[in-house]
Amino acid sequence: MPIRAYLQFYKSIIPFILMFTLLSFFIFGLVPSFIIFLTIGIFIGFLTFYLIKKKEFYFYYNLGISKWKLFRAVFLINLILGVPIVLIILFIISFFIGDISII
Amino acid sequence: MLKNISFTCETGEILGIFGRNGCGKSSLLKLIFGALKANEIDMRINGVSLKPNEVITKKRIAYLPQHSFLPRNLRVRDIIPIYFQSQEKQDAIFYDPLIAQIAARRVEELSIGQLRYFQVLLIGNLDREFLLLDEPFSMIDPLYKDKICEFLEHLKQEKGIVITDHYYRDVLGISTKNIIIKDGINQVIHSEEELQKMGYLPRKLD
Repeated sequence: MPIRAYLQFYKSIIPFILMFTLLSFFIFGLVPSFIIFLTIGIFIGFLTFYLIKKKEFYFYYNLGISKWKLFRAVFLINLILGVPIVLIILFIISFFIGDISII
Repeated sequence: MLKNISFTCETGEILGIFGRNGCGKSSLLKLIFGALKANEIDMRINGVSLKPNEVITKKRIAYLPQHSFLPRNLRVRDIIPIYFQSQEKQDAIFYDPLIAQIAARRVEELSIGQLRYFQVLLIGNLDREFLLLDEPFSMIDPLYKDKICEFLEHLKQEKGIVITDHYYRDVLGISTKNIIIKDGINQVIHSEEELQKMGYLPRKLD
């Protein structure tokens, strides 16, 4: 499995996902923005990548990686990275503030 | 645009595809690679049917698009290990004299010839049975053109290659058979004269 290729795609797409997630964090708060990070955020990231760097999909196609495989990889990486980060944030808030209902 | 196109390509063959702008050459390659959806397509490798949506994932065919497909911010030396895990394959590209001198450069810093040559080397070295090349000679200098021709001649011993380019003399120079697409159908051609007869070339050649 060309793991480096998946990571390269993730590096290319994550800025778009993070920008949208950050925006949604200010509007909806932590937990909804985390859900967006794992769902709509990935769609938005793909859409932005498609609009800006569409030609680069062939870089991955030639390695046998379809759009669907890329999508699943991004979801998996977001899940692996996102869950601990959210848990840490929740822990910090509950430890120092004691009231996580603010999120 | 494409109505009834039919051809075969075997290991050891280089098939040249000609046609005027807009006749569907590039679309045909995209249809074969599965990047575009056809109304109807029947593709077989060694007699076994291959669905268009399986071409990418089954890794039977590599495709060089007309435009650059490499991430612009990556360096040449960083792309090679992404494409090849085996050290032997990596070395084959790293130690190519024309690649060694550009290894530290970013893709966006390469000339058209350097970029095209690097891309052809990358996909040519992939473990695929067939190569689809869309305009590999376009806008590149004679040195890189010769190197690409030399590489393709070497590659055809183990692959089947389909190539389309308006640099018809370069294509005719390496192809083992040729077709021209006109009005959505294809016809076999053998020479420049036939390209003239089919209206691809002007009547008077210099």
